[in-house]
Amino acid sequence: MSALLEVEGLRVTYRGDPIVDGVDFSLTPGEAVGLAGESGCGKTTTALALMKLLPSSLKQSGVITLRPPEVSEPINIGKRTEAGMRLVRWRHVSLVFQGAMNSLDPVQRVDAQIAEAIRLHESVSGKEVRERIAELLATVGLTPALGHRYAHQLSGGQRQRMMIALALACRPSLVIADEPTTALDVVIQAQVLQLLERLRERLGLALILISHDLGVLAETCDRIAIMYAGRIVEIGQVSSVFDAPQHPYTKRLLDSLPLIGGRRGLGDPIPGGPPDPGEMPDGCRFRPAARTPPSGVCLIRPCARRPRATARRVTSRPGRSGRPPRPRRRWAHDLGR
Amino acid sequence: MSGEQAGAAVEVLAQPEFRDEPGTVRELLLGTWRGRIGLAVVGIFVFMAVFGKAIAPYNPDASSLDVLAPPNIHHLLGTTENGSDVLSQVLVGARVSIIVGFAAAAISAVLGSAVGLVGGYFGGWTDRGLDALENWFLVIPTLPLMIVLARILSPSLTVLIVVIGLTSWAGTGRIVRAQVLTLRERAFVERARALGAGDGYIIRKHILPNTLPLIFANTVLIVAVAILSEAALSFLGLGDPTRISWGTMLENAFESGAPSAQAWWYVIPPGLCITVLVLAVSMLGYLFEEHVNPRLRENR
Repeated sequence: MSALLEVEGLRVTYRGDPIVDGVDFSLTPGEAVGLAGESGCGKTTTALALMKLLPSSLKQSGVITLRPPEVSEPINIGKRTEAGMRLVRWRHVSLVFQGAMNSLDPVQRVDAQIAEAIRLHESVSGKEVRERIAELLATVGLTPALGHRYAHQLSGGQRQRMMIALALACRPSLVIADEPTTALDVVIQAQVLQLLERLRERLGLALILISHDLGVLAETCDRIAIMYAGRIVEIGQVSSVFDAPQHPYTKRLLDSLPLIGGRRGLGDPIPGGPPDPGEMPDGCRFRPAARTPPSGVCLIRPCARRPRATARRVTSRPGRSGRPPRPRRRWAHDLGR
Repeated sequence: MSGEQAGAAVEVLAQPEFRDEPGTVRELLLGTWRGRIGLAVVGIFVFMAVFGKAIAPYNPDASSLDVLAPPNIHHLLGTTENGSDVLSQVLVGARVSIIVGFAAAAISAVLGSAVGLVGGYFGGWTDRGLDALENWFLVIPTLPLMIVLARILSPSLTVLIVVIGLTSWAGTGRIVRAQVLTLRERAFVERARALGAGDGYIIRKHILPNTLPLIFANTVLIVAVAILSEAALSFLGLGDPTRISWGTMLENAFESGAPSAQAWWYVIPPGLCITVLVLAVSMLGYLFEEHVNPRLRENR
């Protein structure tokens, strides 16, 4: 199957400093890819760049090709103008935003906001819009009556479902969910994730799920990409990345997680934060003193820009490999089931 | 929760019943003392503006030989220097004050919010230019500017309205701009952009509705300013000479020497009307302003 989305050499810079530095990955129709990494490593910036929604102070380059099944010509997002992007946004790629409360207009009823999305892209009758809204709300498990409410009259879970209904309004082939479960309690979190998964199966949606919660990604995604300092350091099937992480950063990231049922105590956090985009170290970005990886691992070599095109890719391979796979972890999220 | 959703394919989240938030305009007007009094007073004056001519006992322009007569059975508020009935003039004069007050405030609201919305939303040089214009209008003393403008243009009701509207929008513009600056950074504006909405659409559908309460509260206050300005301009002889307003009544009174003739019935009624109407409108304006600006709220 040809790729639905192909990203090659995506770079986003702020006054010349790279925020996202050469990201490439692809997505087949119906596939779910998780984007993980700590705060400030470029996850959200990557997502916004895919829709060209970055503020004008950030400059993006690189090739982004979108091939929605209902369009014969591939869409070259990098070359689209703002007016051209307006036709692509939401129609082919939609976004589920982080804070549902803030992403809904406080003075408009929520169904009017869904209607707005439909009307911006299709000329349909009022009756048809109402029918589609009722259908969308039913899809995400809400009654049409809830559509007549304002955002502040909905609970957190209802709001996030509303955001998902909104994302589906124009039947896109790709949905980018930016931390869709952050700030929701675990029960609602599980419900929202289950909903996303069910919708993906039913509608054949491709999903890019951004989260710093590795458990969430393990649950929902086919493949997972670990981002660090503006690059994808490792990408592969969820099971292989989690069971046998290759990149030292992935390992450290996994080590930071507390294990339910494991030894009591907090995980082993990575000290400090990712390097500042303006002060990227030469060579390996993981090197700065505060973040020295375990001894014996070579990280001085510059990160390989184009790793091998295998099912999983790792940049800046450690000196030794072939450690026995770790036992399967039980993620905190498993408890929700 | 209830049985009606039990059959739905997907489980439905509990939906507690919500009351609409307190503090709608209706509740504000009818639920507070200041609201009730303000509304009642403004209502009376609007009634006068509409039906003043019909309920006036005399033709307000008709002169008689009964010159500067104190209040009596025939003329409840006495007569003017031409022998016209003061009560009839006061009743008829309400129309000009109300029309000028509301029309000028409307012009000022439209101008102010347009400048504030465009400047605040687009930023950059557009904003700097409009901001400079706003500053200019804020710094220039309004009354002299109005006098000059009204003097250049020939006096008529329309000129009065336009002059007052043109000189009073800057405050609204400033307030709207400040609000837009915070609104344009909000997540729902970014969401609207992600939906594929353009700038004009976002301003119309998302930014403007979110600034409306502010524009409304501010405009009610400008109504009071406009009524006062009309009276001031008319008193200075820059009003519409063909129409009776409280301001022109005061001008005529002073020119004919009514105060020195101790004809209090000629001076106090129009003056009191202006004061009471402006007070009532201001009361409503401050009520709305407190409502949209929680920092001004003392109790509640």
